[in-house]
Amino acid sequence: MDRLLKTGALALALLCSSGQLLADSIASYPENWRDWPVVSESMVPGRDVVLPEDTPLFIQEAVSAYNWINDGQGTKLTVHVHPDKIEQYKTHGPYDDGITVIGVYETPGVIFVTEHLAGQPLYGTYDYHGVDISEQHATFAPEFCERCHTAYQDICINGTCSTSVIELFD
Amino acid sequence: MAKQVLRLLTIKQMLLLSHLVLVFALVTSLSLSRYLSEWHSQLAQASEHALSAANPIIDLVSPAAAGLNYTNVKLEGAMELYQQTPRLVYFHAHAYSDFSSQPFGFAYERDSERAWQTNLSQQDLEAQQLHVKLLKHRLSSGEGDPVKYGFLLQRAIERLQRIRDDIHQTKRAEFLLTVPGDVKRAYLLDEPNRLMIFSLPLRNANQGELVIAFDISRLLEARRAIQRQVLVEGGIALLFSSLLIWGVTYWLVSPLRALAGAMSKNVRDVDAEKIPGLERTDEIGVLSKRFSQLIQEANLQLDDLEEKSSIDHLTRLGSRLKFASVSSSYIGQAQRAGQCLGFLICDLDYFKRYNDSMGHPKGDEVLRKTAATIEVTLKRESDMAFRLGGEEFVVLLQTTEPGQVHDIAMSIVENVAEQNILHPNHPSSSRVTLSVGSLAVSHSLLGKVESVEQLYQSADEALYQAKEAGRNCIKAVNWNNVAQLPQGKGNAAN
Repeated sequence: MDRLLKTGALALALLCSSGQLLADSIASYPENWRDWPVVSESMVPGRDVVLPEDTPLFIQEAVSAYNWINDGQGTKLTVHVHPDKIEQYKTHGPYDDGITVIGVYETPGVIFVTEHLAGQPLYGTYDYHGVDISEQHATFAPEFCERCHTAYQDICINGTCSTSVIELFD
Repeated sequence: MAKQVLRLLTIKQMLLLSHLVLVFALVTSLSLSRYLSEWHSQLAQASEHALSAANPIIDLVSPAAAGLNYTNVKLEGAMELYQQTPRLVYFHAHAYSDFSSQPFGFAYERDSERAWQTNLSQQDLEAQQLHVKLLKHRLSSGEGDPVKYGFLLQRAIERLQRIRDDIHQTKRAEFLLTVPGDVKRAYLLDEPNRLMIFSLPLRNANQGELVIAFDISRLLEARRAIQRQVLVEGGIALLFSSLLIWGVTYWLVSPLRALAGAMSKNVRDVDAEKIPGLERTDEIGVLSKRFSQLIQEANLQLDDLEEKSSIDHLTRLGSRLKFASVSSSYIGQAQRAGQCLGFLICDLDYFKRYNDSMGHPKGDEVLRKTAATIEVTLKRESDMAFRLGGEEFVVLLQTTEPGQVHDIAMSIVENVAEQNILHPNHPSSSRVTLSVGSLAVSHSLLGKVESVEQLYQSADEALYQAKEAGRNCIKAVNWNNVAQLPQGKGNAAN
């Protein structure tokens, strides 16, 4: 009976998660993110900024995906890492369970959350008040984050981007 | 050796053989040269098209290799690009990522329309299986958020299935993933599999290699078409050349052979106006004209010789030679004219004694007078007289009746006697006399005469009898009476 219940729960969980994949944020909103240490501050370029030809494709794709922010004028990007995962972040994992890192677009106030569970990254997009805004734009959807981070495995290790790439935003 | 072979060949064979060998060598080398030129041109064109078609794929795969991005090279747009690349059969890429130098391996196959990661191992599969197992365990044990674990489990299962598929695909298409050694050059033609394979560098920082294969069925078909065309054109050229060579050889050698044939004939049998090559203006024409002149000159000389040899110089009657040449046809003429034939053999009596007593000059004079007498006695154009030798004369006559023959014979005997030529040693007469064997063949029996010799023999028998009868007379016989004549004992006695 117990086994049957477990199997039912598993099926229900898979069903729910497949529906949620296309809509809601998976990663949770960290209430105290403002207290977390900042590991980098950079700019998301505006729509009219021309990137150097040798800019890695991941960056090119990320810029091209988000340059609509702030009416195409760009915005400040601040990265906060959970205090308990600073050391893990330096080595790009492996990560313990829990929220790992957030990226904040200052204008209009968007928080991209990366959480790890069983070593795997989960993504979510919220506003400053913790409201799930992943449906507001295609680039806020968790599967968009997932696809981009998974695609560029060379610089996105364990779901977080390597330092060398982040530095390009400085 | 060469000289021996050349001696075995005629000029015609030598001309034909040497020119055929030359033309064959020329046509073969030209055909081969043309085939190679066309084929290399087709190859270069195909290679250029293939490289041009490979460029967008390199543009797509290079950044994917740089960032270990298997997603972009599997997107719908990428698959459309592969499918729309003309004649693409497969490609596979091997590289190391630009930042972490991780191996990148990716392949695409047109037939199965599959694109897959090629560097996954059994360890990757087992690791993913363990991960799925872990997630299932956590989900079933009620630890944590079931939605998050459910999401992760679904993603892990999908990932596990992709790994399985990719490993299976890699094993299935292993033969595609081997890199032929020769492909390191410009390209490799794998004709059994109808492929043109290129090894091209990727454009990522750590470099890499894209091995890409294109279908060359059309190229091979084009090559067959070129081969067919070259063979047909070469064959036609060879055929025309052979015909031309044969014609020219025939044109050169045929008149020479005809001339040689004419030269081997009797001069009298060669028609000087119909010698081959007379109409030509080249060297053979000169040769023919010269030969024609020679024939004409030879004929003139022969005519002169024959003229001289047909007349007996002493008596001016026909010679023995002329008798031999006209006597046979004379029988035919008499038959066609519906006449009787007269064949007289006249022989002076005791002429040896005359010569002995009077001397040969006198003897010759007697012969001349006798011949003149015979000639005077003969009245018609068809009458012919010959001196066969010594004191023997033959007269050929055509008369309407057999009796007329004997009358003429009698006239000859009488006319000679009337000459009153003294013959001191004549035993029965003091003058020169003549005996005649006279043979008459009626027209109805002319067809039974088989030869002149037959007539001669009969007339000679009659002459013998005339001599036996005392000379200075004729012995007249008709052809139907010939069988009754006693057989002679050789030529009539003097």
